[in-house]
Amino acid sequence: GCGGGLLSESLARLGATVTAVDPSIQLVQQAKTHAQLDPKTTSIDYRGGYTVEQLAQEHQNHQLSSSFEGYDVICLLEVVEHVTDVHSVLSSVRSLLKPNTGRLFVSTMNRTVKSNLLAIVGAEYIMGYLPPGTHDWNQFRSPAEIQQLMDEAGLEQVNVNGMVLTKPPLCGQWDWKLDPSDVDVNWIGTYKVKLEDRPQQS
Amino acid sequence: MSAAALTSRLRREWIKHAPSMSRYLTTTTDEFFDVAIVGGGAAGSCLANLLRKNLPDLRVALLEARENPPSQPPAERVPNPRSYALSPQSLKILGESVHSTLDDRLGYYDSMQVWQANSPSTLTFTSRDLDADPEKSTYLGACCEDQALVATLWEEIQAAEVTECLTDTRLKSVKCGDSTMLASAQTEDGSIIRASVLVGADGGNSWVRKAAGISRIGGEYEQHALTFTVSLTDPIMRRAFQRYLVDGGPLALLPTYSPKHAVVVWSTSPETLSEWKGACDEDLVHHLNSCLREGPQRVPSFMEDNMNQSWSAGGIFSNIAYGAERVLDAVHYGLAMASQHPNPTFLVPPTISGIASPKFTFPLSCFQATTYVKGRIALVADAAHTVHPMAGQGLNLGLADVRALVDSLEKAHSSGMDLSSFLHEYNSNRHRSVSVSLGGIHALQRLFRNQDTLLTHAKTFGLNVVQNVGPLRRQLAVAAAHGIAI
Repeated sequence: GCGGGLLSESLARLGATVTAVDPSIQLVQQAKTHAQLDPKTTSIDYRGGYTVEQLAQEHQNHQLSSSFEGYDVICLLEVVEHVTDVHSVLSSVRSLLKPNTGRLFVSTMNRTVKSNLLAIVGAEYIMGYLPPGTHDWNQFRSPAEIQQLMDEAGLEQVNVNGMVLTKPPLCGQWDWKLDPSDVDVNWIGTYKVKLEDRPQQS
Repeated sequence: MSAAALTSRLRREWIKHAPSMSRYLTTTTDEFFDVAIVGGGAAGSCLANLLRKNLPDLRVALLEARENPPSQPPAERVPNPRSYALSPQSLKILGESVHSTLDDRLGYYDSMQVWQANSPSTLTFTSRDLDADPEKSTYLGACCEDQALVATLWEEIQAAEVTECLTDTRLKSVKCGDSTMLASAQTEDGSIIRASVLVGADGGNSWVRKAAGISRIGGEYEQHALTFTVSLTDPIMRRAFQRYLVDGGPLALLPTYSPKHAVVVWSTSPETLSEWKGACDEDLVHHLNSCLREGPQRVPSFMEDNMNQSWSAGGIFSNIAYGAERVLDAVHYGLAMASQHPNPTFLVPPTISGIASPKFTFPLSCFQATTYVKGRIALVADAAHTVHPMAGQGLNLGLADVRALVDSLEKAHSSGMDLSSFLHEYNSNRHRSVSVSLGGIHALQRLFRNQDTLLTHAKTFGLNVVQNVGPLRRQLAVAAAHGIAI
């Protein structure tokens, strides 16, 4: 879910070799154009009109002939609340993640009264930060629900943190903080391949 | 690899083995840099040096119009009057290695004594005003020659061999860029330099600012400044002096690294300046000494000032005026006597024995750019703002800009973000801070130009208050040292 490539570019500048996938062709085309501005971002492997399931399939097809061990980091940030089949996405991700050391980051919003008030009523209707209808509150997931889905897909939780705003948006600069105790609205979790579920190496 | 890239790479290798040569763009190229700095003066080269130290993986270019990089002035010569008054905070921003290289070329001062014509008050700032701890506050400021400072910075930059130093480079066009396009500058020989951030550090008449279409508010002062080095009969003992003369302009005497030499900075009307610039040395020395060695005076009587007015001839009004003046005198002297100031007595500056350098004049102005940031272009130091030299703030404000810009670049860089991501924060921080400083200094300039008697009483009172209200004086000293608003 790379979208316009904001995260992809940051990670590339910090030294990562990035493969970026998104179902939207148009967005990825814009991302590709933008990535040409900085020599450090020109080598990002952008795949527009591509899903993570297709990427998993591609690697499965090449499994015997390549030395690909899996990705060190996979990011699914602000994606699961927009996806209809979360289980399919997670299974594909599990097959792409490096066992033991690989880490999956998933961020989304919790399905609480507070998140409805802030993220939908507040952000979409009152402040107008996002167009109304961007988010469907019913698709928000709590950490516990995601943990359940992870478990079914062969992944286990490492930790979960809430992403909390320390200053109210109305007066001045936004400042995000990680807080393990407040997962009421935005939260981000870290996951890894379940130990007993290590894929067979041939 | 393209022919252009290969030529450029070969040239770079060649230059590496001939470090004394400056680099010339002899064939047209199109190069990308993370940061391109236009202007290799004090602020521009300080910025390049800080980026080299703090963000070493960034590709930085330093563009300078002069043909050769500045060289160190020879030792054993008279200090050059083209100097800056650097605060301890500025020397910290410049960095320890630069400070220690410059150390024996700095004219440190522990106190700055300010007084007026026709007024009994004296204001003395000391290094203790910056920090009560004598271990930490070893000086109030230091006078530093421009040539020595810039040469030292260039030496450090060139020795590290990571910054692209492009001398003899003049620009003919510039593009601000935005989120979808890089900033770019085209040189006179047709080469193009693209950058994530382009910095205008090219002085008060900044070409970058004009080419980017950034306007500024403010104006030229009616005053110009005259500066030259003088020799003294006695050492100046790490003290700086500034007197506001009858025509309003300050006359400042600043220490140099040579104890028996000082730099004079005299701000006054262009007519007065050309008169004295052409006068013989003896007369000039005599005039300077009579201005500087005269201590605080009684405020002239309002009555004497207004002898021509028919209603001041006598009667009740003159008695009231007389009474009022006595009350004001009592207030002034009373405050002075009740002082808790560590150095309350007026110190007579050393006698000037001769003029030791050529005389330089420069126009004075107070300008503030309407914005410091446009697209991917950022302005720093004099390109962004100019100020009257009376408070010695010019380069201090400039180096504070440099530090703030480096902070915003570091913030973006640490998260791998586009380097221009936080330029708006640099702008709002510095624009606001500098506006307040400029406002304050301009207000002082206007205040001291006016010699009206009532205003002189007000100024005397004000000076006394600052002198004797320790916390206020200390706050002003710290604000001046840090180039920030109070």
